[in-house]
Amino acid sequence: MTTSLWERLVQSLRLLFPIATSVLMICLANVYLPNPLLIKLMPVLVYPAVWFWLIRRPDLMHFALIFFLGIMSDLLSANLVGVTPLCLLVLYRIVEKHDRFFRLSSGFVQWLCFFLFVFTSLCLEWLVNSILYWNFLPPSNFATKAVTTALVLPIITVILSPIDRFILGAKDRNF
Amino acid sequence: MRRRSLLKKSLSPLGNWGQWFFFALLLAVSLGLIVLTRLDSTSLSSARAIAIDFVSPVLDGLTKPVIAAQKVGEDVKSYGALKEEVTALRKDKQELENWKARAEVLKSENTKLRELVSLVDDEPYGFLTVRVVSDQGSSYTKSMLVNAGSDHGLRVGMGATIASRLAGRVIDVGKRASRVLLLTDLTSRIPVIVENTGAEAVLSGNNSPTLDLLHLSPAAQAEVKEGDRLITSGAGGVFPYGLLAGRVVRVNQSGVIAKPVVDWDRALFIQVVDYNICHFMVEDNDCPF
Repeated sequence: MTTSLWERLVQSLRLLFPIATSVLMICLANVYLPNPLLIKLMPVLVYPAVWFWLIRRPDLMHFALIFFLGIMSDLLSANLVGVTPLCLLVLYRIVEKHDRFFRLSSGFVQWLCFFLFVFTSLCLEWLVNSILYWNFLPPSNFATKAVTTALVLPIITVILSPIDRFILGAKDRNF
Repeated sequence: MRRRSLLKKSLSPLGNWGQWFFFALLLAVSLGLIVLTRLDSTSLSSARAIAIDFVSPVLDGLTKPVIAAQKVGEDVKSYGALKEEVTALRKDKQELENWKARAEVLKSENTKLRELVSLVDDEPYGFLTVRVVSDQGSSYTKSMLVNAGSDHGLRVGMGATIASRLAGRVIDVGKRASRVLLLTDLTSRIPVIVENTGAEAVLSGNNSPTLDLLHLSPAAQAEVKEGDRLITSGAGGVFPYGLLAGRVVRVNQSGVIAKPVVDWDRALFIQVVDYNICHFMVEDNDCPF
């Protein structure tokens, strides 16, 4: 009985890895950087993390958790709260609807789709900020972030894939 | 879709319609929050405070290797230029000694003049030095997270300085961490005076490296020159009088453009100004903060 409880506890902790790594990415995106150029280039790390887990382990990424990640990202970056969760929820619905397409398509096609999503999301964020503050904000900000965020996806994939393979394991996918 | 069942089962016992309703509700909440945070930026300040308290230990831990690497880089750079640096420091020291002698004469003259006109001095204020743990903000917000909060005496509205020059003000205060809104942020407004002319104005950020000087009358604008210093006016009682906030860099038909005088690259530590206008209030109830 004790073993069973222990196993269930370990199992539950393992299932928290996607959300934990996404929270870590949010923290990393907010870390102190000494160079202003690096700050401009810093990618929005919550997007590649959520994208990775939504495609690899959609069973562990409930939309309520995704909403929480978006809110957390906005609260920490002092952004207008609501923009990131809105984009992530739309992403959730798109990936859910085209689940098969995303899982079967090549890495390059996935990357292109991700770039399109990030570009649209950051463009929306720029538009919302420009309208709500009634001020034409420089669009170069979101364009730079979109490119760096898209470029960081392969790195995030390399980092998170071993977690998916070894820690979560194939047998968990049968849930 | 078989793989999708685990959290759906555990988190929502309401079935498909329940899921759809919950999803639509979260979308509506997201949209509502966007409008709410714009209409009233303070409405979510307690949520922000909780969030920054929650992650500040993690950010603190992640920041340490960055600071260590920065220090190593600076050390290597300074060893390379040690000889030039010593020469420059000697020159600076000579200049400072001259300035010190001049300042002592001016100080004594100032004290005598203050006594003559019976000037009531401003309440003296102290500084609390805090460490920057994050300086990202978003693309549209210029802010920093610092490793001190209400437990250390920080309050919303306090001024933040770097080397006695105004850098911004505290906007969110958690228990152990706080957020400082920088002068360059789009929503930053600081009451200042042009030191040379005494004209009152508002220094406004615009998310670029420069600042706009607003609410300056045409007559006062005509007197402003490039290089003029902008100091806090103390109006509103949030900041003390006389903190250097910027310097005029351009005066043209469309307005006056200024630049902050803070070295952002060295903003590893900032000093929060412990200034409390309430010391002047007779009744505690009169205090706006």
